[in-house]
Amino acid sequence: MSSREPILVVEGLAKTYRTAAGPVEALRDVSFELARGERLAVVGESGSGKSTLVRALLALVRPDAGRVRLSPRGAGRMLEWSSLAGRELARARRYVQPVFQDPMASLNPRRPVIAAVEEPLVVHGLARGDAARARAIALCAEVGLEPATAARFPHELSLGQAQRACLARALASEPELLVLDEPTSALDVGLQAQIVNLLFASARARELALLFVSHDLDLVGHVAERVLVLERGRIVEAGAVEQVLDAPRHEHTRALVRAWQL
Amino acid sequence: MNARELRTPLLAVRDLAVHFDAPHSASGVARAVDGVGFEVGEGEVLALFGESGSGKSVTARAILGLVERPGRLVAGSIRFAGRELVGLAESDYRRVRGREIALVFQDPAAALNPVLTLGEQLCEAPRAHLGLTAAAARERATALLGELGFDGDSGWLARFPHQLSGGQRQRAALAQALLCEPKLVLADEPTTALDPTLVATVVELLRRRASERGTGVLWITHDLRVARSIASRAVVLYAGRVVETGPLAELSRSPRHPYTRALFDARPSATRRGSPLLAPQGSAGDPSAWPSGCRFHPRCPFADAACAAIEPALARGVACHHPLAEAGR
Repeated sequence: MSSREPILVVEGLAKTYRTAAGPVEALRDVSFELARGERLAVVGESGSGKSTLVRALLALVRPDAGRVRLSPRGAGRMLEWSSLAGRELARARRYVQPVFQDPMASLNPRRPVIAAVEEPLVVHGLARGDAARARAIALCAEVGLEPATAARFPHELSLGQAQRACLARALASEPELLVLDEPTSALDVGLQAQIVNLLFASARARELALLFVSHDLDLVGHVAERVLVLERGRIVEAGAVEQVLDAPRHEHTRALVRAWQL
Repeated sequence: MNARELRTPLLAVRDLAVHFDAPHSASGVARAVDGVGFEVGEGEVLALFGESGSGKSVTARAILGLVERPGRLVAGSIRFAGRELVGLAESDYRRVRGREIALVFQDPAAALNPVLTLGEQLCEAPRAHLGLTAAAARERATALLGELGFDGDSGWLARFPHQLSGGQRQRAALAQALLCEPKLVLADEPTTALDPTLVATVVELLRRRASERGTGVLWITHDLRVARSIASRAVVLYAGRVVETGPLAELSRSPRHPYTRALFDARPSATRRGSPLLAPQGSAGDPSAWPSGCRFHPRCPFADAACAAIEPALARGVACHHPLAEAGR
């Protein structure tokens, strides 16, 4: 566990879905902390609870038990993130931003991407009018989108450009935590590398914490400092990335690493 | 070299060119596939590697006779099991497609019909093509789903696609493709949505099909890492041309084309933890206006005047004026 100040504290998180086939325990007693600027990867098989964890951290599902607390510098206090609602939740969303696997599905097809980057600036009261436009252009430049490209609609962009736009939008509200769900798995190797480099640069420049879900253990090894391994909703192993990937202790982690090396 | 490789290959693609009308471009034509050739032997798994826009999926569509306007197959030959497919009548192609050459798509949602149960769609082809009874078809489908990691009860056949996870849908689509025991499987990014354990299951099944039943597999992918676990040889496409071909182990140990090397260097790895990845900058460009000479030259660190002027021919497995030496440069 890191000695740095935490941005995120997750305690005893549990979530059960009721399905036609009976209850499915998606998360069971999940607890961990994430320090400011730390890069944490979550790995596990399909159905291990990764998506539910991502959704809980984004306050898109409400846990049945446990809590998620968030301690953004911008707020100046600890927020009870998993019990916020309404306007309070909407305001706090600026501190935790998502980047999903499919950038095209994340962008409004009827608006130019610059508008998508500008929107959070205005919504969260960070800038308006010409100042908001100028900030949006600067954010696009930071992720490698020229103004002419940023003025286009999502369908006029390549996948790589669309994912850059999603990253610029995620950065616009000055978040302190990015939650990334397979952010590069839809992209070619070269584009993957470009996006990973951008993520690193953006995170370092802002002391931004990254929590990302990925099947790609090479990517995990490259990006993460710590790894959580989920199996059937429980954390079965957690630790420094070198230790978890190079000397896994839990049988499930060993199976994942073995399958990866094939 | 064993006897199998000396026989006529199962699939032989030669000088294939598929162009698309591009009325808004200066040249008026997009050369998506522009002189591509390779062979797949019986029981061989060949990786057809390329990034988006390299022409790999268009090549697959051409093999299946599915090039449609504004695309045109303008040149080349596709010989499959001793017969020429280019120019084959659509009614004849229908007997080849699905039965002798099966396609596994990247997107399982595109392959499965949402309003039919798995049983209805999996059992239809073996009954129609192989004359199996309903019971025999169900038995065969259940067994194959079992091989693909579905636990062994037949309840799966009663389910609809929406009742399956993404990974289950993808494996069901693979089962559908394999049920008629095709001679050749075209697998277009078949493992993109799967976690590593399931990737291993799919790879293992296709490898077994190849070695035990002589099924040829064309594994079309942008992921060299998974390709390495299944294919023995690879063809690397760039901008509609073959830039390098050879045994995959050799390509990954000492790539000879600078593009192939850039691809391997761009992969993240724990040994370079946290350092910037060596991403090839920019993109291959516009298929209606590929760069002159070697199409990779604008992005190549070793390019000189010759590279910009003269297109290198594929010689001894590499199309480059300055191939990298054995140990790199």
